[in-house]
Amino acid sequence: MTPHSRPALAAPSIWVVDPDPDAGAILQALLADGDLGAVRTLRSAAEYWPALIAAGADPARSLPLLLLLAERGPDFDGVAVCRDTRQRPGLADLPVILLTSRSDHALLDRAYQAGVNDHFDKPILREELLLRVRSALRLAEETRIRKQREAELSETAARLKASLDRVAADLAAAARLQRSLLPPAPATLRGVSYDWRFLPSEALGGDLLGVLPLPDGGIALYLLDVSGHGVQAALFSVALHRLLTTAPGGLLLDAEGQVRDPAAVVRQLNAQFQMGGEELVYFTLVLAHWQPATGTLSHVQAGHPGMLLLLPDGSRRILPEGALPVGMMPGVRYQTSRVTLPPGTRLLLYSDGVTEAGAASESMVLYGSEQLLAQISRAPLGECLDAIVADVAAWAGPEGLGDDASLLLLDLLPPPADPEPSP
Amino acid sequence: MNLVITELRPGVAAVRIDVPRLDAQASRPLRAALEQALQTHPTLILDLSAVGFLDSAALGVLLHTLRLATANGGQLALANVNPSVRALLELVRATSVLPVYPSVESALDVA
Repeated sequence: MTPHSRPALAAPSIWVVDPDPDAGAILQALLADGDLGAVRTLRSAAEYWPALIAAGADPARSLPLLLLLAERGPDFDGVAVCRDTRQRPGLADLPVILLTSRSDHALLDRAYQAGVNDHFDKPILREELLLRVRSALRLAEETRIRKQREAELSETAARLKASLDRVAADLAAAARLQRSLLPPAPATLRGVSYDWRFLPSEALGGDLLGVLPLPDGGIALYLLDVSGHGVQAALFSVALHRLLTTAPGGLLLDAEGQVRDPAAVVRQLNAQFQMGGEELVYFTLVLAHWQPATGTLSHVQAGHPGMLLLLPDGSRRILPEGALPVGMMPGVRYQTSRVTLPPGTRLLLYSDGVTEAGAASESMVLYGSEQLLAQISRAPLGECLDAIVADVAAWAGPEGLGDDASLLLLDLLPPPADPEPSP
Repeated sequence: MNLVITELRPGVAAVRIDVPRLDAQASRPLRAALEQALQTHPTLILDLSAVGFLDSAALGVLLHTLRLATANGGQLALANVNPSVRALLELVRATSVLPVYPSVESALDVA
């Protein structure tokens, strides 16, 4: 139990230190009259300090709750006593009233700097004394309660911060895991060079993308965007990543190990993941199958923005969008579109977090797909992506993107002269 | 949620959504409010004139409401859709299932 945790006003312990025995007796009488509890009178610094040290050392005794100090006497300097008392543990907030016989400015200046809370001139008037003592005790009690609350609050804040730190560490670990699912880049696979940028709006995002070799010598590409963002979207995106593989149980190959039509894959996903329940989760997806041997890109777009093309002749195109996002409506008839692309075509897959940059701003003017299309350059893949990211970030401004954004940029080159063996 | 529900005829109500930004935060109360509106009016016409932006979560709510409405023999239609919201609906092909009308009156003619 700390010395100040007793109820102060119920049984205050007032200490009077005054070398003048008459003054001490008068104070004691006046205070006793005021029903302020026990009063302890001390006659000198030599009596005061041992008593104070003993009271501080022994939990059974109590430190003063209020100190009335004579300003001066033989071998006694009340201001110095006050200053030294303040240094002792538990007494920083002890109310100290100085009894002055002369109130000149320099003395009061020194007294208040030393930590005196109040003063008044002798002779002592009973009503004034009781009023000031009661007010000082009340103030001290309020200060004690306030400090206790502050201590409790800062303890709560520290506990909250500790749990937030734990959550943040978990999220960072999950984000590392999610990132580890992304294909190594920049890289070249069967003549296709690619690189990507992945910009989750929170630690974890609902976007994910993949570039996978197919047993027919082609490449599967996908970019998906789970509705919402944060942990739930990220968990769902990771689950989808597990399905969009050529591994056993993955959806990209059929039971005979043949490459499935992209639309068939999306129709199956749509049958499997219909939104409902507490969280209305669905996702947009672009899934494509590139066959370098024929230069054919077979693709299906489910609510996903159309892929952007920069053709070797410098012309630019947006591949038209397909059908609804996956999970919104049962029975959507997703169709695979096919387009033949000349060698040297640069292809950009992206999530709408890129083109919706600006949505978080006051004006809500969106970046848009035309602007993104115009930003595709012939610079090396990484440079081109960085320039796009910088341009989009500048458009979004200080409010940031507000949604997960990802970009997958590929150069579709002719297959190497010596075809690689299929894995 | 700032919704103004006006009965147009028995079973059909116009719902004006006075929220400029329909995002993930607004989606939860929007869903609850629309589900409740469907209890009394199987067909709803959403007046989106005040909505300047809607995100993927809000779009999920609209499609969810459409599914609930059609499952109960009703319908969901949108009216007064501003161009950027319309662009988003078209981007995800939502307009293939969610009818969009220039005004509540024109939606009512069809509903």
